[in-house]
Amino acid sequence: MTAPPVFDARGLSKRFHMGQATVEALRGVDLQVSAGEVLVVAGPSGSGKSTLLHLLGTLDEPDAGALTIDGTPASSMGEAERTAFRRIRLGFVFQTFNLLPVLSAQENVELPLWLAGVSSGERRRRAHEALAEVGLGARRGHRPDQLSGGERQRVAIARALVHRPLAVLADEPTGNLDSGTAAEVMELLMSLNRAHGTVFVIATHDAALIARAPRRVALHDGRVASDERKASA
Amino acid sequence: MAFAGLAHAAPTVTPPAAEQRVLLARTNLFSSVPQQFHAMLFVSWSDGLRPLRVEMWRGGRDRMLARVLGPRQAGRFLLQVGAEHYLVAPGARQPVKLGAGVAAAGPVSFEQLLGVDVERDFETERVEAGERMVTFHLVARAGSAVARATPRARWVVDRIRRQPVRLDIVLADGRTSRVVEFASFADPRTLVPAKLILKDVLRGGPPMTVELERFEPMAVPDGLFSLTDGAVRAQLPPAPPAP
Amino acid sequence: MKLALLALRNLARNRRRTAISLAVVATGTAALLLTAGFMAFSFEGLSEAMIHGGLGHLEIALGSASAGRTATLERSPAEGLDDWEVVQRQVEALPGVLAASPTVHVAGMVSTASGTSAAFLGVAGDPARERRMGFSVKLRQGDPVPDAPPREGEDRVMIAQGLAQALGVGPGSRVTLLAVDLEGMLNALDVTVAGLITTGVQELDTRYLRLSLGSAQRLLGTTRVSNLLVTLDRTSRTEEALASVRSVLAGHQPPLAVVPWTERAPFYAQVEALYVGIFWFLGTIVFALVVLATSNTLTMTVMERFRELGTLRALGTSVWQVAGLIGLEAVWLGLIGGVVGDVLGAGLIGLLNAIGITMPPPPGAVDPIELRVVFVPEAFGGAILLMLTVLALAAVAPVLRVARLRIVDALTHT
Ligand SMILES: Nc1ncnc2c1ncn2[C@@H]1O[C@H](COP(=O)(O)OP(=O)(O)OP(=O)(O)O)[C@@H](O)[C@H]1O
Ligand SMILES: [Mg+2]
Repeated sequence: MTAPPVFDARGLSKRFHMGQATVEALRGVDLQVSAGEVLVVAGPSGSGKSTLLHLLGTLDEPDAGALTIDGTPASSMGEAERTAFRRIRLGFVFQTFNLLPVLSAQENVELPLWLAGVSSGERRRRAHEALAEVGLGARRGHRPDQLSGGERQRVAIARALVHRPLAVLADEPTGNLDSGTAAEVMELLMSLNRAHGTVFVIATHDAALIARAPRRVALHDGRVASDERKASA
Repeated sequence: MAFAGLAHAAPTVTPPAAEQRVLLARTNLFSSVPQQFHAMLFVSWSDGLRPLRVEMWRGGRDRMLARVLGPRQAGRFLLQVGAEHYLVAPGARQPVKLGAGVAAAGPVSFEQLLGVDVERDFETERVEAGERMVTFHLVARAGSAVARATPRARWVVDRIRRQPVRLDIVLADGRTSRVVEFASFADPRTLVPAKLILKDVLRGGPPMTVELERFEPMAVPDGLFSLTDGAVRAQLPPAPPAP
Repeated sequence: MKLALLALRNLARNRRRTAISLAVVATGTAALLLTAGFMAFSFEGLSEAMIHGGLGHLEIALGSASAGRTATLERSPAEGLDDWEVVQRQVEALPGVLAASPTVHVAGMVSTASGTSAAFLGVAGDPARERRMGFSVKLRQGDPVPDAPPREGEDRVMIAQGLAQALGVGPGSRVTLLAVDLEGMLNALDVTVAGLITTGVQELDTRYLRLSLGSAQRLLGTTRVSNLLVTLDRTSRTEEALASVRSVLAGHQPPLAVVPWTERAPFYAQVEALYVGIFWFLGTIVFALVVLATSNTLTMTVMERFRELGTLRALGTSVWQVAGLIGLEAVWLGLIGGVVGDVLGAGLIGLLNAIGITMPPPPGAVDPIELRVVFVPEAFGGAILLMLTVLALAAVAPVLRVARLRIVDALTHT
C-alpha cells in the first residue's frame, strides 16, 4: 500500500450567489495530489483556480463533493480544528504577499511558529534559517515596506514553510512580480520542494511557470479540462 | 325672649334692654372687685405640671402688679399700667414694654384673672337669653385697653344668682382663643373669685386652675407701679417659698 | 512577540487617527477629573462651611430631645444637658477631638429703647473653644463678644447685620432681649451691641445674634446648655469619632444622643444626591461621546485591515486571538488615553488653582468664593478604569465584526 494522497478531492462543487445570478465556480472537480508533488493549476480568469485553492486550504467549504487531506475528511473538522490544521499542516502564499506591515521580515516568518507555541529562541533560530534558505538572511530586520516585491514574496514563502507544513497553497505567487523575479521565485519553490518534499499547489496564469511545472491541471469553467505530467519527471 | 330672637336676625349693635344692662353692671366683677387689694394665687395644672404661686397687687382700676414666687423668679414682675403691659426684670434697667401678643402669650394674663371691664371696654353686640343663663356678645370699643388682646368676648352670666359664669375670649376672626370659668366666688357681694378654670382652646394643653389663697383689700402704694423707679418694688418682702 | 505588543504596533500605524482617539479619551478623562475635582471642592467647601459655620462634626444632646436630623437653632436648653461639663471633659479626652463646645439656643424678642422690636434667634457658645474648633464668626463691624463670662449688667451681643438694620442699632447700642425662661416665665436682659456679624446666609441674618454662654443662661435662668458641639481635627474621622464618643457616653443617665453632622446638615442628602446626579449626568455624556468616537475609529481600523486579518486567520490564528488583537488596541487606547488624561487633568487642576478664579456668591450667600479644584486621588484611578470600560464597550461592535469575518471574503477584500 502506498501512502494516501495529501489531497484527495472528489466531485468538488462550489456555487456563489450574486443577487439573482448563481455562479458555478467549481462543477465537480476530481483531483489527487500525492506527497512531494508540485502542481500548477492553470486556466483562464474565472475558471475557478482560487476557489479550488480555498477549498484545499480549508478556508472555505464545498457545496458538494468530498475532500480528504492527509487521510482526514475535511468535512469532519469543525472551525477550531480547521484553524489548528491550517496552523500546523498548511502554508499559504498570496499574490499580494500579505505580510504584516508592522512586523519585520524575521517576525513575519516567526508568526506561524509563535502561533504553534514554539519557544522564542527556537523561533528565532528557525525563522533565521528559513530566511537564509530564501536568500534573505541579511535582511531579516527590515519591515515589508523596506523590501522589494520579490523580497517580500520570499519572506512570504519563508513564512509558509518555516513550520514544515505538509503542503503550501500559492495563489498567483508571481502575479505581482516581473518575469525575471517570477522565474527566480519559481526556481526557489522547486528547490524547496526538492529539499523538504513539501507539496506545492500553485494557481497561476504565468505561462513560464506553467511550462516549468512537473504537473499541470487546467481548469475550464469550473471543471478539470486536462491533467498532465511532464514526461521527463 | 322675643327681642333676643330679633337681635339674632340683625347683627348690628342693639342696645340691651334696661333689665339686661342692670344684669351686666351687676355681674361686672372688674368694677365690683375692690380697686386696691393684695392677693395670693395658687396656679395648678390638671396633668401635674409644677404648680406656681403668684402674688398680685391692684392699685386702681388699670394698675396691676404680679410676681411669680420662686427662687429663679426673684425680682421679676409683670406690670400693667393703663393699656400697656411691662416686664420688670433684674437684668433690664427699665420695665420692658410687652406687645399685646407677648403679654397674652404668658400662662396667666390679667384679663383672665379679673375678667375684663365688660361695661367700659366693650359694646354689647347682642344678647342671648336662656332660662337662666344670659350670654352677652361683646365687641371691644376701638382704642380700649383690651382691644388688641381681646377684640371680642362672650360674657355668660347666671341671671338668678347674678354672678358671671364664663368669659370666652374671641379673636377678631371669630375663633375662641381662651375660656375662663368662674367656678366659685370668695365673696358673692364683691364677686371676688375664689377659683377660676382657664382653658387654652386655641393651643390646647391641660386646663389651668387658679385658686385664691389670700385676698386682702388694702391701700397699695403708688410706687409699686412706677415705670421709672423700682425702689418701692425692691423693698417688697422676699417672696414666700414656691409651693 | 506578544499580542499586546502587536496591538500597540498596529496603533502606531495610523498615527493621526490614533492621536485623535487618544485626544478624545484624554480629554474625556481630564473633563471627568476636573468635574470630580470641582464637585469635591464644592462639596467639601459646603461641608466645611457647614461644619465650621456652627454645625460641628458631632452633636451631643439629650436623647429624649429631638436630637439630630436638622441643625435647628431652636433647641431650647429646657431639654438640655445639666452635667455638660462632665461630658465635655470625657469627650475632650478622646483622640482627634479638638473641642466639645457648649451651645445654648434662645429665641425671643429683641427691642430697643425707642420701642422697635423684632424676633431673634440667639446662639451662645464658648468663644475660646469655638476658635479652637475653627468656627468662624464673620465680624463686619465693632468687636466680638469677650471670651470671659460677663458680669451682671455687662452682657454683650453680636447682632447679624440684617437684624441690626431692622432695629436701627449698631455697635455701642443698648437693646433688651426678651425670652421665656425654662420655667415658662418671661425674662428680660439688657445687653450692649458689641459688633455686627453675618452668618453668610441672608435669611438668617435678619434674625440671628450671638451672645456669651453666661448671658444666655442668665436670660433663661439656667445652667444647662442645649447641646455640646464636637469638632474633630479631620472631617474624615467623623465615623470613628462617632463610635468612640458613643461608647464613652453609653452609660450616661439620662441617655444622650450623638449625631454626626451629615444627619444634621440641612439638605445634606439632597445636595449630595444633586452632586452625584450631576456627576453621573456629565459622566454619561463623556462616556457616550468617547464610546461613539472610539467605536468608530476601531471599526474603521477593522475595515481597513480586513485582508490582514483574513491572512492571520488563514495562517491558523484563532477567531479569539484576532478579536483579542482588536480588543487589545482598544485597551491600549483606554490606558494610554487615560494616563495622558490624568496628566492633563492634573496639569489643568494645578493651573486653575494657580490662576485663582473668584466666583460670585452662590444664591442666598453673602461672600464670593475662591474657586479651587481638588485633587481626588480615587478619581485618577477611577477615570482610567472608566476609560477602559468605555473602550471595552466601544470595541464590542468591531470585535463582533472580526468574529463574523469570512476568511475568503477577507482575503479577496480590496
Ligand atoms: N465570493 C464570491 N462571490 C461571488 N462570486 C465569486 C466569489 N468568488 C469567486 N466567484 C466567482 O467564481 C468564479 C471563479 O472564481 P475564481 O476566483 O476561483 O477564479 P480564478 O480562476 O481564480 O480567476 P482569476 O484568474 O481571475 O483569479 C468567478 O466567476 C468568480 O467571479
Ligand atoms: Mg484567482
